[in-house]
Amino acid sequence: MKFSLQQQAADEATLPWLEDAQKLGEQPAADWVKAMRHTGAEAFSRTGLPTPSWEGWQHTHLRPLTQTRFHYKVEPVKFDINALPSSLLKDAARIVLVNGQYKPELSATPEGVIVMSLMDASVQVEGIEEHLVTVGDLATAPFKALNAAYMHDGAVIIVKDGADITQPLEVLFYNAGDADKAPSLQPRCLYWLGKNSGLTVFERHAGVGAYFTNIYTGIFLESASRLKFYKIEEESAAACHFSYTVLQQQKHSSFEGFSYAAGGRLVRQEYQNLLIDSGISCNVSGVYLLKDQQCHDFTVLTDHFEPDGTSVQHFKGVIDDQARSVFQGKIHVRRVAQKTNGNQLNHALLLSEKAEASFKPELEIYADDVKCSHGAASGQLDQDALFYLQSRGIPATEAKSLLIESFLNGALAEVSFAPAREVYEERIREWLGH
Amino acid sequence: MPIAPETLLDKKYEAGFITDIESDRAPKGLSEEIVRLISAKKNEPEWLLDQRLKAYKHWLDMPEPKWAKVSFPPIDYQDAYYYAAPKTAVAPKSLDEVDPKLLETYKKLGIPLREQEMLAGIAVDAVFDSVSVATTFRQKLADAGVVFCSISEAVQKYPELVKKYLGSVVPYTDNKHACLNAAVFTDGTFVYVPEGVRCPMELSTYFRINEAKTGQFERTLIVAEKGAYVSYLEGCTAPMRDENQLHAAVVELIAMEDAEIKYSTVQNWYPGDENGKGGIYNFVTKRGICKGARAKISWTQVETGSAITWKYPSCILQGDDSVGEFYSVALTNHCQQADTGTKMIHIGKNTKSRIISKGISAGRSNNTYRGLVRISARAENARNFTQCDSLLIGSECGAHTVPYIENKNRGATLEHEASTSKIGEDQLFYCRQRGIGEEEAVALIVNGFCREVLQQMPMEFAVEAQKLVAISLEGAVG
Repeated sequence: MKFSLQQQAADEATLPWLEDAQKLGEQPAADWVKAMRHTGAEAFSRTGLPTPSWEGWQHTHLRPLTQTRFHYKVEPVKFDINALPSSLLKDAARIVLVNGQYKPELSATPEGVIVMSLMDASVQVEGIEEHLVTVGDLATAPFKALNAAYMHDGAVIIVKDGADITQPLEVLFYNAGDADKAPSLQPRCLYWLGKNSGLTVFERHAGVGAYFTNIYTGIFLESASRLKFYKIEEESAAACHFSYTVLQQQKHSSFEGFSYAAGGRLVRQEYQNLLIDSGISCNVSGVYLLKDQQCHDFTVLTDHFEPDGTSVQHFKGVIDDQARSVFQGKIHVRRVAQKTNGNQLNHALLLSEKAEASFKPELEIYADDVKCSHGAASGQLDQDALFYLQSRGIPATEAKSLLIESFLNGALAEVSFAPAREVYEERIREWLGH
Repeated sequence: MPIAPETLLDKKYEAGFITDIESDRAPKGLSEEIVRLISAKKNEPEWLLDQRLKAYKHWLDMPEPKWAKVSFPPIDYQDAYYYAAPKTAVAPKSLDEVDPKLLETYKKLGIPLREQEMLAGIAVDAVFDSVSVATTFRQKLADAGVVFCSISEAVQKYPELVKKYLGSVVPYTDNKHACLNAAVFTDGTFVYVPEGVRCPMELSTYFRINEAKTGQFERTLIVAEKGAYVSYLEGCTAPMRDENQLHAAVVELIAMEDAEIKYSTVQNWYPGDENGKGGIYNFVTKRGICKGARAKISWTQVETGSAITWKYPSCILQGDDSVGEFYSVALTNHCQQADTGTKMIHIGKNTKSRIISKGISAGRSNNTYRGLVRISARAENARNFTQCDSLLIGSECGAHTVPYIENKNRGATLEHEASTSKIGEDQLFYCRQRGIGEEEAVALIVNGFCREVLQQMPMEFAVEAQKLVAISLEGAVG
């Protein structure tokens, strides 16, 4: 495979990435996979990494990513099996991906669910191509393009039509940065739920050492299917985590997504929710807890194509030390999408003098019979409430934790699955230091 | 009862007529010579010419701002006149010296100078195309020590003041439209309120684009010294034209310690016809700075006109305890496009800002609120409240909200609320049931929707603004 490296846009940090991609491009694969790698690499070579002058990238600076030389490797990674974190829930099935590579020997699959590696699926599953291709414009999404260029790792999770899976499935992404010096990980995942099926997923991202993980996740919900998607992002403190989730929902399907974000040095979680039919419900909410020099970015686009859709984005963030948070949300209601209900709420709590929060909650509305709103607020802990609690004998630190917990509970209320809420609550308490 | 919106959507632009007065105008196009010519015509000092030329050179390489949600064919800057002045522009001493034809024009627009002079108690610096033709109440203002004159006059009479403040809030490097203005501005208003003076009356300027293909490049500079107060009204209306006309104005406000500036606008430039043909491109850069402690700047605008509105009246809150306010009603109908909002830059401690924006879209128009609230690290205890509501009338229009919020100080409190909805069927029904005509009911509901903003307008304008909202909406029932 050959593509012209237009190196004017690539800098020192990204040039080796393109060379890696070129090497990978020669690996055997289905024709359409090769074509995708080619398109991705070419698109990335044209744009390079986004700069602060790009719309949507003003506040997320990529320095931590360009400071380290990250390399992509095809070879299976050697890692310490005992280092794997234990399961989140006792009764959950778990599949494991180490450095983006699916490990069937460490995985168990619930009945009714098919799990296989991305490369296996690309040749074995009929019609997989249209679900695995990258959706959207690559010229404005360099990370999406980069992931496409490296199409090799990852897994495909398929639920058959009508299968209502009650056993929760944990999908663990374990990234070992110290086993393999500064790896660049580019997995691609697909959750494909057949008609009238249901699944509850805990997607967990954890690891050690320095690594750069850039995940593209396609979620495809056929009509009347239901997915509960609970994400736990607790990457290592030196990690850069970029995830791009494209959610495509068909008629009457429902998506309940919640994201807990506390790990990583530089994290951007981007969602593109495409509500392509009517009567869809889509909830993408979350909490982010940041400290030290962490930078975290949630960018959520919700696009209503057809009538009677409901979308909710409810985020709460706590920012300490010199950490920075970015929230960019956009609800787009197309002309025919009448009777849309769109709500977006983002609150940030700044705990230290150097903490920063930026928001851009956007509405773009072309239909008149809709109810859309957004709210954003930022401030510090209520001093009166703190005083009140202290005057009743609760120590200052405890009072502070109490107030933060109650603040975050507002968003946690979006989680309907009780065990998931417990997992989140436990993590929040841990973060608060008790 | 089914509502037929389109049938009523045809209210014609009332101020559309052309006054036939000979114009003294420079050749078409923009070049260094034109810039020099404008400067020479105005008998300007060397430093101002230098500034103009610097701006012109910078403008040549400057890219046009592309981030706004508006679309229009590229502007041919060479296909416009940059200087046009009515022949009668030899500064008249009283109204009697003014060309009767000009006076007639104002009468048609409903701003008879004499009447205003006598009844309204407003000093009017009426700008016909590019040169001020009449200024009233000058004596009364002079007694109070307030300077209220055209900017060209100010350049001659108060060069130090103009030199000190011109371009200090909006530098020519700010954006392409402001840069063009810095190079070719022909006239505008200068207001200077000395320390401790409360301006005895509302100051007002009516702008009017009259000459075909004359881009109007107004330059307004208002300085309020320590403890001063001034309220300034600006109103616009333009005659019907087929070709697009460019209006790139710059307004700079400077409020010192304890000073307050209130700036109100009613903008009713020609919006183009039902199919989006013609209309004014209103690309305005407005910015105020609260330099001293406890200063206050308040922007109020009612935007109903122009084919395209690109306007972000902003406040830089530098002084501690200073206050910035922005109240806006933006109404678009037919094919109009509006991308408007504000910037509140909090720098000083305890600074407060308040943004109330009401967007109304009808027809096939697009209406965008775009705003920035930035709290810098030292803006301890800063406070912002933002509310932007959009109302959609009809199923072919769009309403968009693009707020940018940046907080670098934990002591700051920011709140932002936005909602989008349509006129409630039940509200309409209620009015109709009580015998209120459909059109009237819509006007009533919309005026209620905008009430918070209209209340901020000075009396004289509030009435006009309400009427304007009703007229612009006539027919847009849906």
